Amino acid sequence: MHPADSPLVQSMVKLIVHRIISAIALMAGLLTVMFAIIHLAPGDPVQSMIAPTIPARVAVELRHQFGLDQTLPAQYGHWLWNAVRGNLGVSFSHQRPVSDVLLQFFSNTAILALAAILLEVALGLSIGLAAVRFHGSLIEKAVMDASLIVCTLPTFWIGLVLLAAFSYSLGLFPSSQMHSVDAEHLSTFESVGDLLLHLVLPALTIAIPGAATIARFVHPNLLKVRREEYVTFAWSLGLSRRRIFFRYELPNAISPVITLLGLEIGTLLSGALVTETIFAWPGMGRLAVQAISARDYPLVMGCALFSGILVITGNLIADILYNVADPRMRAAS
Amino acid sequence: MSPGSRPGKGELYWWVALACLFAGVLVWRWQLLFMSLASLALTVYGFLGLSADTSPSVRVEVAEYWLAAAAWLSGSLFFGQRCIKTLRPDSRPEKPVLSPAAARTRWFLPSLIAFLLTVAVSAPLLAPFDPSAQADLRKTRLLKPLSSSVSKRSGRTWTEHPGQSRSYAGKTLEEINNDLIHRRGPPGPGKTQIFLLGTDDLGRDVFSRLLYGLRMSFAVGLSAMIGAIVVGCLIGVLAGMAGGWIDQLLMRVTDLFLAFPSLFLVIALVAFFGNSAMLLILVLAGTGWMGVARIVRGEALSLRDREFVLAARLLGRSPVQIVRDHIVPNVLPLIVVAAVLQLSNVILAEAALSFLGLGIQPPTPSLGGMIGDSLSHIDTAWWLALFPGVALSTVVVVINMLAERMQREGSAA
Repeated sequence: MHPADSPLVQSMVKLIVHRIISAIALMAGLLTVMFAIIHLAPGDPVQSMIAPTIPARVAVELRHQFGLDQTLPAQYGHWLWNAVRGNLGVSFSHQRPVSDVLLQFFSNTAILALAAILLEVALGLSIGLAAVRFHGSLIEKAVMDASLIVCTLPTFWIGLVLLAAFSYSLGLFPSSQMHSVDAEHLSTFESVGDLLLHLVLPALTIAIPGAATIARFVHPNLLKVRREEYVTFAWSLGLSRRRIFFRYELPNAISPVITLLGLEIGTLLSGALVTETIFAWPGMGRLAVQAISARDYPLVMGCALFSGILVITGNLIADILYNVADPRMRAAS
Repeated sequence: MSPGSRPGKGELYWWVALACLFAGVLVWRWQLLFMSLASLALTVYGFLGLSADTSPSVRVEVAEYWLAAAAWLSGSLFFGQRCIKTLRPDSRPEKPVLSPAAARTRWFLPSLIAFLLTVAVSAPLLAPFDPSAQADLRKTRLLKPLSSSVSKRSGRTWTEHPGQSRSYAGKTLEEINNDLIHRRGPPGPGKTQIFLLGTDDLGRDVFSRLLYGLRMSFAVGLSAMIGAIVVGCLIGVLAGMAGGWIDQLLMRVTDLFLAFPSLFLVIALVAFFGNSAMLLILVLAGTGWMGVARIVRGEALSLRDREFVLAARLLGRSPVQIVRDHIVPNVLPLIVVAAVLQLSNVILAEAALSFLGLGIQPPTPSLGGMIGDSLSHIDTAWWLALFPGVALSTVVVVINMLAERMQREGSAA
C-alpha cells in the first residue's frame, strides 16, 4: 500500500485541512476584533510620541505618514493587504519593522518556554510515576494532595516565593533580566552559563504548577491503564516488565498530557506575562503590554497576529499528536 | 447510628472555636454593630414613611456596614447552631454517608469557605484601620507585624466609641451614619495603635487592607462568575435545544472565544477602556463563559432526545417550560461544579491583573495589588508578600478542593 493511502495519513490530511480553514476564520475574527478595540479606544499614538510644544503641522504630517488620517476600513484593508504580503509595518515606539521586534522578543520567550516545558514534563512525569510506584501508601496520598494544592496556587505567588527564597535570602540565582550586566565581557561558554542561571527561577515558576497538573493527569491515568485488559494480556504473553511499561502503559497514560502540553506551549510562546514581569524577562508578554500602553498600533496588531497563530498552531499540533498517539482516536475519525 | 455521622474531636473543636470567635467579635464590636443595625432600622423606617426624616438616602459607605453587621450576625447564629448540634450529636439527623473517612472531614471545606466569605463581607466591622488611610509616614512606614506605635499627631479625634457621651435615642439617622463613616479617621494624640500584620510602604495597616482585599476578591469573583454562568447557560441551552444552524453558529462563536488568547484580550480591553471594577467584572465574565456553554450544550443535546423530554413535547409543553422543568434540573449539578471552578479561576485572574497593575486601582486594596506592590520591598519586608499571598492561596485552594470533591462525588453517583 502506498503510504499516502494509509488511513492515518488520510485522516491527518483531513484534520489538518479542516483545522486550517477554521484557523483562518478564527484569525480573521481575532484580528478584526483587535483592530476595532485598539482604534475605538481613547488615546492617540501621535500625541504620545511628540512633545506638546511641537507645532500641530508636524502632528498632521506624522498622522499622514503613518496612514492614520485614512478611514478605519481603509486602514484595516491596508494593514491586512500588507500583512498578507509579510509586511507588518513599522513600530511607532521601537522605530523598527514590527517583524524584527517580534522576532527578537520571541526568541527570548522561546528560550524560557522551552526550558519551562522541559522542566515541567520531567518534574510532572517523575512525580506522577513516583506516586504510582508508591501506590496505596501514605507517600502517594501526600504527593497527590500536595500536587492538588500546588497546581491551584497563583503563578505570581510561586514566583515571588522563589525569588525571595533563592535569590534574596540564599543568593543562589540572579533575580531579574536575561543576562548579567557585564555579559558582553564573558566568553561564549560563560554567557551560556549566565543565561542558564538567569533561566532557572522563571522556568521553575512556570514549571511548578504545570508539573503538578501533569502529575494529576498521569497518576490516575496510569492506575486506570494498569487495569485494562490489554495490559493483562501483555503480562500473560510473558513480556518483560519494562517492555509492558514503556510499550503499553506509558503511551496510553500520557496521551491527555500531550493535549495539555499542546495547549500550554501555544499560550507560553505568546508570552508568560506574569512570570516575565516578576523576573524582568524581556519576552512577548511584556512587549504586548508595552505596545498596548504606548498605543503602538502596528506592534499591537503584530502581537495579536503572532500570538493568535501560535495558540492555534499549538492546538493543531496537540490534536495531531493526540491522534497519532492514540489509535482509538484514529479509528473514531 | 452509622459511624460517620458521629462528630469527631476535630469537628467539635472547629465549631466551638469558630463560634467563640464570632461571639468574641460581637462583644468586642458591639457598639459598631449596634450603630449599623440602628442605621439600617432607621433607614428602613424612613423608607416605610414612618419617621419624620424626609427621604433617607442610602450611602454606599453606610450600606457596607449594614451588610457587614448582617453577615456577622447570621454567621454567629449559624456557627453557634452548628456548635450546639455538634455538642449534642444524638440530635443530629441521620444523613446518607459516603464512607466514614470521607464523612469525618466533609464539614471542613464548606465551613471554611463560609467563614472566609463572612470575614470578607464583614471587613468594615473587623478592620481596625481605614484600609487606605496613611497615618504618620515617618513613624508607621514598613512596620513589622505586631508592632505598635503611639500617635503624636493631633487633629480630628478618633471616634472609636462615638456613642459613649450621648445616648442613641437622641441621635438622628444622619448623625449615626456620620459616626459610622468617620469611625476610622486619624487617631487622636497619645493613642497606641497595634498593627497586627505590620504596615506597608505607605504606612497603611496590612491587616485592614487584607480584609478589604479579600472582600474585593470575593465581590469581583462572585459577580464575574455569576455573569459567566448566566451567559454560558443561556448560550448552551439555546444551542442544545435549537440544534441545526443556530447550534452551529453559537458553537463556532464559542470556539472563537476559546481560541482567543484571553489574557491578551483582557489586558487590551482593560488598558484601553480604563480599569473600573465594573469593567473588570464584565471582561472576566465575557472571557469565562465558554466552558459552561459547552458543558450545558452537550448535556442539553443529549437530554433533548430522551423519552421524558419527548413526552413533555408531545403533551404540548412550550420550549420554555421544557427547559425549566426538565433540562435545568438535570444540568444543575454540572453547572454548580462549573460555577465553583469558575469562581476560583476568576479570583485568580483578577488577582493576576491587579498584580500587573491592570486590575483594581491602587487606593482600593486588592490581594493581587498588594502582592504586586510588595515586589519592590521583597528583600526587606517579607510580611507584605506573605500574608496576602497566603490569604489568596487559601481561598483559591479551598474552593478548588471543594470543586474537585464535588466532581468526584458527581461522577461516583
